[in-house]
Amino acid sequence: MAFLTIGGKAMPTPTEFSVGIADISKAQRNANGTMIIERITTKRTLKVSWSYVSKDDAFTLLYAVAPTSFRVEFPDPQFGTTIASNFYCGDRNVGMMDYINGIARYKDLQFDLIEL
Amino acid sequence: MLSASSDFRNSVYATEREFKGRATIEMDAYNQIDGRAFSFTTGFEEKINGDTDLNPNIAKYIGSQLTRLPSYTGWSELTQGYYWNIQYADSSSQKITTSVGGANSNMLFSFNIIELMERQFGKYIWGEATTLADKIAKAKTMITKYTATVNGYAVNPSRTTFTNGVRYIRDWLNGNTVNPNNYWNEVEAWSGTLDRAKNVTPTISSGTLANAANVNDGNESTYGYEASGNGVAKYIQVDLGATYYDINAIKIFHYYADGRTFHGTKTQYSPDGVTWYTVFDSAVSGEYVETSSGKMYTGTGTYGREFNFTVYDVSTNAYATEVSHSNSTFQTLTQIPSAPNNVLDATGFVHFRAYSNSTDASSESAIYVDYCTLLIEGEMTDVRVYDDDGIMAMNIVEEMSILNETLPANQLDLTLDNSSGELDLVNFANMSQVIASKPVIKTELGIVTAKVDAQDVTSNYSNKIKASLEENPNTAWYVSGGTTVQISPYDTLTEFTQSAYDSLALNDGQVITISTTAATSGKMAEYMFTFDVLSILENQFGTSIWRGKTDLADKVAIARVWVESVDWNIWCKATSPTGNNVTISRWNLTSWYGGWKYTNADITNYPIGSSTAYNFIDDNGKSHVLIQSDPSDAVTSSTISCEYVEIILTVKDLNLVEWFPSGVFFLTDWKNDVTNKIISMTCNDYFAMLSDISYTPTASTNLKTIAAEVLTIGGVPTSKQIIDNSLSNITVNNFPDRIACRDALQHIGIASRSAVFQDREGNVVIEPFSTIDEVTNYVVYPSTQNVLFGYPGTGTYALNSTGGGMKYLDFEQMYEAPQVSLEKSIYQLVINIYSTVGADPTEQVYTNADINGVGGQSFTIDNPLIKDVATADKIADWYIREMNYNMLFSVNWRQNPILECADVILIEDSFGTEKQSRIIRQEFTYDGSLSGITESRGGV
Repeated sequence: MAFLTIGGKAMPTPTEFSVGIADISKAQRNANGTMIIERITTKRTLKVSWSYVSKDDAFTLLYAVAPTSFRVEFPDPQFGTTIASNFYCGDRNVGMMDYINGIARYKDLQFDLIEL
Repeated sequence: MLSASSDFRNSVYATEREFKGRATIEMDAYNQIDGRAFSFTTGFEEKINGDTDLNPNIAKYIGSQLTRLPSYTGWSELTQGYYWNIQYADSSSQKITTSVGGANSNMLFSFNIIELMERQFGKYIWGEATTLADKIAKAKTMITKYTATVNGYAVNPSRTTFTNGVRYIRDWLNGNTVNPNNYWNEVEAWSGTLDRAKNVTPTISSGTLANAANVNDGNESTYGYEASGNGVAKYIQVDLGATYYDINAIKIFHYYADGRTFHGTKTQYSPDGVTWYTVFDSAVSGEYVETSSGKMYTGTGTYGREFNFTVYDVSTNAYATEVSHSNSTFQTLTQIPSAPNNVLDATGFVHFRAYSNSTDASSESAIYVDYCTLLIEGEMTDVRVYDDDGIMAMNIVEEMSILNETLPANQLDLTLDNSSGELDLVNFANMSQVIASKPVIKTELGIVTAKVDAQDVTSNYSNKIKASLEENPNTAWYVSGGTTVQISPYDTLTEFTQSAYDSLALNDGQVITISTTAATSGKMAEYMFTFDVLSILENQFGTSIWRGKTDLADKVAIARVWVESVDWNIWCKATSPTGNNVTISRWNLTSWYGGWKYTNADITNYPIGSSTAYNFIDDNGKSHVLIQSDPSDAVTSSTISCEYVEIILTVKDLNLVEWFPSGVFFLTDWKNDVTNKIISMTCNDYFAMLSDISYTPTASTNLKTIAAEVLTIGGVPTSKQIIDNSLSNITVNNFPDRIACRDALQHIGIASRSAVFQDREGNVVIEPFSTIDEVTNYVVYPSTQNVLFGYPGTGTYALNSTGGGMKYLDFEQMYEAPQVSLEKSIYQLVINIYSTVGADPTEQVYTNADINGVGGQSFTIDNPLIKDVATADKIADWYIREMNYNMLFSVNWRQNPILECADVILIEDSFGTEKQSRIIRQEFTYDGSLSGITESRGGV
């Protein structure tokens, strides 16, 4: 089973992968000064990067995250299993490692996936 | 105040809480947009036998020689253990078996569609439908597809049958060698050892079948006959009542006593009465002499191992064509009814049936079922439900005017996510008509009363105090000196000492040991550990996990389906004359189960697992585990030692939401924000619409009749009018001229001293304050509120103190201290009295005796419905009394969706006076979280 799938398609296993879990809440202090919390929901942000990627893998990755939103399956540390949810992609950064005989290789391809 | 559960009470003012929102839009008149697709799956997860609260679906089983419809009363509901086995795709499955000849094994899966839809989308999914029949009709307009999936296989003996299917059998005759008459002794249809035609009285094609009951009476020597002797071929027909594929033999007996031969003999069968298969025709095969053995025809198809799956079709009152497989291992079958509306029955259920082929009694016929699920798909067309995925913001205002100076104006501002574009204005060719059709928007607010992620809950003996269940609900037991039998939860046992509990608390090397009495044979050293599962769960997650149930039996039932597995870790060892055998068992409701033996000489952790948790939580909600040594002998004692014991309860996800209505509104404005892909909708109540329509007075003089006329002409359906009966006792002069319905309602409100408001379900209510006050405990003596409360004549009521629970708005729930303002009091009230219709009024002047001094504000009531001084006196008394409650509170706080206008609340203020007041305005702001403003009016 693939470590990470985007839009139903298996992605290369990332070099770095971190899961941010954010509780979306509205916290205000009451008239006594005590914090009261209105919980809205919990969302995840995935930071993913690949140290070295081929031209084909770079295409696969960048093409997969091009739509406005897409479904991502990933291993979730809180539940200990693979979960799926809808995400959009932040800015993509990719550096070129070399360009030999008309073939490009890339390094440090990274982006954030933010849960909708 | 709306009613709510105790779980809601615990959640709504909790430091941390979570709300949900839901808006249901009805646009039936001018629906011009594509439907909104929905789908959800249901099954038998968390199903409790005999209960429909947690899971409304029901599964039943039967072994039967006949095809049983869902309405048959002989089905048995699955036991709890059976339900446990079919709830998921997992390693557990349920077997149903029979060995009765001609019988097969069946499981019936009944899905409560109406209840499931309502739980999924809320009660407003039905629009105006309220009866079950109407809801079913509505469901049929929405549901487009059912996909039932079952996983299982069957076991049954393979044999040769008429696999085209047999329901009808015809046997033709046309006289015989003795006379021209026709005689039938028996027509038999055999499935193994079962004659499916026995006692089925045949019909005849023409003429009269005398002694028809003799045919198929099981006696092959008695007969029925047809004696016209007219030389026309006749047949008798037997209807088996259903199509059977397991008929291996058809036997025909004609009159045989004198060895005659019949002419024109032909035997046919048919699965449907349309297609006929001929098994014998004397015109082809030649005539034969009748004997007492009859004539037998056998099927040639292979009726083998088959696991069948079908759906009950209401339109034919029969099961539809099944799908089947003949594998000897689990395999999935899918049943998709071609006409979904034909399978939803009058009780709101759809039924699917899995069954084996029947047995010939040589061996069993059985099915094994792992799970059955149903995917429900459809399209919301005239009713759309938007939940938190679609709602960006929802602002709700509800009002009640105390004195009817102005009628209330409830309002909803709803912002929906329109990224799909489905609500773009350009989709509507005639938007003005859409708006004119008054699309209804019904809103709800829900609070999450229980939210648990799937997890393991571990409990041990930490902090255990002997003889107390408060600090730690678990207990541990033994019998001093050992016993010759296994101790059980039913026995009177000795509880561990405090020091023993302390040793057991941690996995820290401290060991407790008991020994059997020295020089005594056959005694075992035993420890029994009892874990209070209900208390462990409740201490961890709160009482809301019981979903409103309070009885022990109900809590146990919930625990049995919510706890997925019960595991123990036991660090122990034993000594005995036979070595280091330690035996571990767990209590299986009525007896010890397991008896696993281990032999380590040192303390070792022995994990004991259970995949069927329901069996290991007893009727008191407890789980027990027993460790024991081998028996002692006359020389050597036995001992058992234990260092640490823990129980691990694995619970499933839980997400419970309790919903409350928060208003019914009519769409009046619709704004498209293309940039942000949102739609803003502004909606009002009936009162806003009433101002556009005028009422032409009739001859009616009864105030209730007039009120009904005004509301009806204003567009309020009769079903939405709640007019207190006391208004029918008030006789007035009707209005002299045409008047706006809204103004007319104001006059009616004052004339009857009533509140006029729209309630949460969209009803326009006209109800006297005297009636409201009886149930809301309104402040009548504001200056002495710590002593007396209550409407005159109804007795006194207790102070709505801080013990009033949700009606007490304290600083803990407020974002800031409440604003308090005072309105001017009325000193002089003038009421115009119109003794006859259109007459000039006479003035009646009243003075507010509660105001000390002279002078003050004056107010005139000019109401054509007031026709005499007696009425004016009552109105003046009420009006002045209400005006004295002139303190206005405005509280910016977290809000509570069950508090309504007219509720009397207690508000903490900076002066510590805590005045009672009546809510006159509620504002709810929902954007994923809830907050709002409550305004109320009370006395100084």
